[in-house]
Amino acid sequence: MPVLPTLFMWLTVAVKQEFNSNRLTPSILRTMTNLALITLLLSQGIVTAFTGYFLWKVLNSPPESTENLTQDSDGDVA
Amino acid sequence: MSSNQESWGSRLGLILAMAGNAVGLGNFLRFPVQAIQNGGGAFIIPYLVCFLLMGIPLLWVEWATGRFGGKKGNHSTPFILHELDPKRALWKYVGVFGIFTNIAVAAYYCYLESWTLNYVWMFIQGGFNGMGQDGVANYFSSYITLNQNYTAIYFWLLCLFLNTYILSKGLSGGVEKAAKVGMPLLLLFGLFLAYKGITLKAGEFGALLDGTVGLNFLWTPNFDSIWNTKVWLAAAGQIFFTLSVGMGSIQCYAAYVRSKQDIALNAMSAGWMNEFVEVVLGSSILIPIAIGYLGVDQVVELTKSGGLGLGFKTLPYLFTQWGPWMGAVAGICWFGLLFFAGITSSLAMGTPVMAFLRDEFGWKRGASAWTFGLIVLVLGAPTVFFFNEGVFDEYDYWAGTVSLVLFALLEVILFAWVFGMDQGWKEINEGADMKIPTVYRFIIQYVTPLILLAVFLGSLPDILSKIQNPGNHYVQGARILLLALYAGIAYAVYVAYRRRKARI
Repeated sequence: MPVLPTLFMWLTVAVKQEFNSNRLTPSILRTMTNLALITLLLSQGIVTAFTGYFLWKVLNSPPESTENLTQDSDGDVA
Repeated sequence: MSSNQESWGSRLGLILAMAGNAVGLGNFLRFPVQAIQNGGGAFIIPYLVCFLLMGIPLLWVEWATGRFGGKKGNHSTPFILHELDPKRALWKYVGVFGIFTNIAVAAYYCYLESWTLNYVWMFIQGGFNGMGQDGVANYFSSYITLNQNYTAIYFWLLCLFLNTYILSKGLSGGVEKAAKVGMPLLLLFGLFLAYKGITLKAGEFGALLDGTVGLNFLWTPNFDSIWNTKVWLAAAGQIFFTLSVGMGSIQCYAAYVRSKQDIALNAMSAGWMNEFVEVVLGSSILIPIAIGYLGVDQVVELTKSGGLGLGFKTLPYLFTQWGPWMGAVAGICWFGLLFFAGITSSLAMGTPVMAFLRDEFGWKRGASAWTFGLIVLVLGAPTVFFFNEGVFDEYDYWAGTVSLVLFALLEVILFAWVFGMDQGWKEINEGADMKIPTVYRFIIQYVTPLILLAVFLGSLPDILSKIQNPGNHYVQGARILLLALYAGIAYAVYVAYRRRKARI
């Protein structure tokens, strides 16, 4: 889908602009307590790290053969 | 023997379909509300513990039983469970839950899914522009009471048609393609809204507070809550709902995995992807935006009745504050992501029913898909027409809550104690692309069944009080329908078993 790369690029530009304008960092520091920030970073960090790790393992595991794709009873390639 | 020999087209497609099965509306509407009500940031401790000790083991057990059944031509839980202990007739009827739950949950879930489709349409049309907060809330109320010229019924039928049509295209041609489109879009929409949520600035577009105030409120831990059993039961319940375990759909998807293909790493990838959507995206949208506009006290009050009201009655109004263009984009993203989360789950609910009809009665793919659609239409109609009379909630309680826990408890006992951990462990590890920590052998055998037993016993008082309270006539009718559905499927399993024996 060509629309997806475009949207991703658009999102990246928006995020870059946000960090360049330095709005998010002071907002987090001003409104969030250290405890809440640490809990957020730890929880989301753990979950993101494991998700990334397992996906990376899948993408780097030996490619599986698609030779034994079967035909279903309706005659279509499944 | 089964003539049903479908298979997944690619590994990534399988993982996305499994993750899509798990990611549902609850990831965005239920999780943040549960966190707020059960200790804020501290909720993540029992939540992750339950994920490690109950969620992951159940994922492995369900993937392994599914692949094991698939090797012998069984793709739905009645005969997958029967294959684990062929000497006892009982397990076939336990396996009935794996079809019953999917039909009953699909019956009300498709209706819920159709709301999101209608809201996408409303944002495309600019239908919420200029409406006040009460106007948006009233739209929802009149929508579900069918006062919008039957719009709700049209969208429900459209949603049901979409589900059935995709299912009729088969696993790789329908379900897998839908997951490959739906999941990346869901992630993209979620990232965009999470970004908008946490960068919401007080004073801009009418916001009272920064979005990060909502994050702070959600993630501030109340460590006292960790010692509360209610919080642990809530965490275990959330893990159930979020992973779609105890339903029979994971076994069905896994039954189409090739006999030597990895399940250990696939299960982890799909499971953790669901956690990413829930913990990272789910916590960064609804609450930060709602608190940014309404303040902490009002949001706490609104979440007392769950996340549905906040998601459908309040958030559309808040999006319109961002202006007509950005409001429409945000609204389409929010309800679009809920729709994709919903449809990838409801497709998984149709597959076990189709698999049963194809395996046991030799039905064609199209016929079994349209039959599933028809059953859901008939069974779902009471949830549409008598929503306010409590039929929707009754289905959700018995099929979407009690059945899941009971089925998961029985299947893990069957796997670890009857099939046996020696065979079970071998089955999980066969073809594995990762080394599973040996401690999980002990956890699957002892810890997971004990947690499931505790969850079941913890919910017993509520179950008993429900049974003692007959409710109104509509609720009683819903219970009779559900009982009739279970009995009907059990009879079909009995007939299928007799046919198998006759063939031998």
